[in-house]
Amino acid sequence: MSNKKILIVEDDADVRMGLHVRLKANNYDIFFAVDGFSSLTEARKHEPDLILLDLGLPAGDGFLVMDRLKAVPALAMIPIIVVSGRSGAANRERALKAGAKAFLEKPVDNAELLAVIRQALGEVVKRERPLVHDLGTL
Amino acid sequence: MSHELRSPLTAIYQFVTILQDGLAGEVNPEQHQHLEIVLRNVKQLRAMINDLLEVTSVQAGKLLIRLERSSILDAITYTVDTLQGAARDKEITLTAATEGPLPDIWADPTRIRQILIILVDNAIKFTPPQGSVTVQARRWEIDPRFLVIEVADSGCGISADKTELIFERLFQVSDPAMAARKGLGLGLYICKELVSRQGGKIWASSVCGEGSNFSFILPVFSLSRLMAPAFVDHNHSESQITLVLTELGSRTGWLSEKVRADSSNWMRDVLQRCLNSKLDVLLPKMDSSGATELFVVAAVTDEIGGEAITKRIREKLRGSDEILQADLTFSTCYWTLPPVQRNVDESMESFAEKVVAKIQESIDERNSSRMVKI
Repeated sequence: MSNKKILIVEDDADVRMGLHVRLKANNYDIFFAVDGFSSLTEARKHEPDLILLDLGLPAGDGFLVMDRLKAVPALAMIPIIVVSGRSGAANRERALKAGAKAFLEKPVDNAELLAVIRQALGEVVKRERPLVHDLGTL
Repeated sequence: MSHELRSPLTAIYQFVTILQDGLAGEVNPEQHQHLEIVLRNVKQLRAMINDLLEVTSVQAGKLLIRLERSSILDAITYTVDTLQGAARDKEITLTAATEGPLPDIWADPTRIRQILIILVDNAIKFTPPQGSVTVQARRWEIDPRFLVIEVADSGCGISADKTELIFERLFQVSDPAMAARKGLGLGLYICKELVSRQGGKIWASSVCGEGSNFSFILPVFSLSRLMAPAFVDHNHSESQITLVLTELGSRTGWLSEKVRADSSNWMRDVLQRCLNSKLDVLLPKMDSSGATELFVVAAVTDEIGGEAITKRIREKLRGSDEILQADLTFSTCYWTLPPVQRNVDESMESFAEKVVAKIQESIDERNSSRMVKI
């Protein structure tokens, strides 16, 4: 079975690379977009199974990206997980209303990120080796 | 500011864990230990950034607090469950010593959990192994309109002259025995702000070397107290009360818990915007059947009639994205109660209690088939 494809929309190059290494090690194929504008182009090009979306992006923030994606029938059904440095109930509520499957605050711990991705992709959660570190409750 | 602070921290966390997990090559035990130290400090930095951002919200007046009828026992159970692992690691006994039943409080459940987490986490940090931390709640002996919640530990204690200062912003304990916890000194300040913004008070008592006791009070939920302010500017001897009922339903005939939870805050915000904040009261959440969610407004005046409010609610809800997207339906109606007489020299609270009894009676009558209770 071929690997699932994930599009990472993130403007910070280091965070992008960190996500890439972690997700590749978990057998996902990774594609990138670095701003709001290119996220649509990359989504059309690669037709990912899931999108990890930052909110604070140049050339169209994450909310605008979600609006645009939802307006394109071919892309509207791709599950979106927001991973953002913006906190607060208001951002969370707004993102979920805009159609995100989940809202995760940076820095999100690896276990939570992988569990949410697997759930959104409809995969059974099966951990073969401990690749995760709990960041704690606070 | 939050994005700028969190992105570098995210990158540090990601790459430290990548190295630790051997995703970039094998790590020897000594290197592993060093990476563990980096990770521990990342966690500490994350907690500090969260505290800093919270304080920024406090100072900007942007602290979001949603008061609702909440259970303190739920919040205590959540906190004890969450921190049980940390207590066990330090060989500390953490217990919830509260015996029910207790009345509900009028507070934000998320914020109550946040306060308790800060207090219990502090207590664990300041208590040596084999010690104990106990959380309990009861009616406040001094004023039964409040519950008092206590977090007691058998730790190192605080000197008497510091029990007030510790709630100041950026206060740091100078005693080296207590300074083991590195922090910004914001946790207790955040607690104080959160408690006072929910109508409560927080304080500490302690005996050096024997332990500390952090207590805070929060108001017990009372519908009549919630309604009393609406009568303050109303000088007539009798009050006309209009009840506006808005019913949210689903076309499928069943409202799932998720839709109910997602829609509830949004609906309450919409309804709140349709009201005159001085004269009208949006009643707390009601129990309702699987098919509908009910929201009731008590309008304490005949000047702004039920018709005006229902019209405003209909305008806001008709064609709204939330209703359309979740495939919801709504209906709204109003009715007026027989006038309630206020006796000469009758206190506002006693009058409000009388009004609330009438409201309850009227809602019960109207919805007896649905078993609706306030």
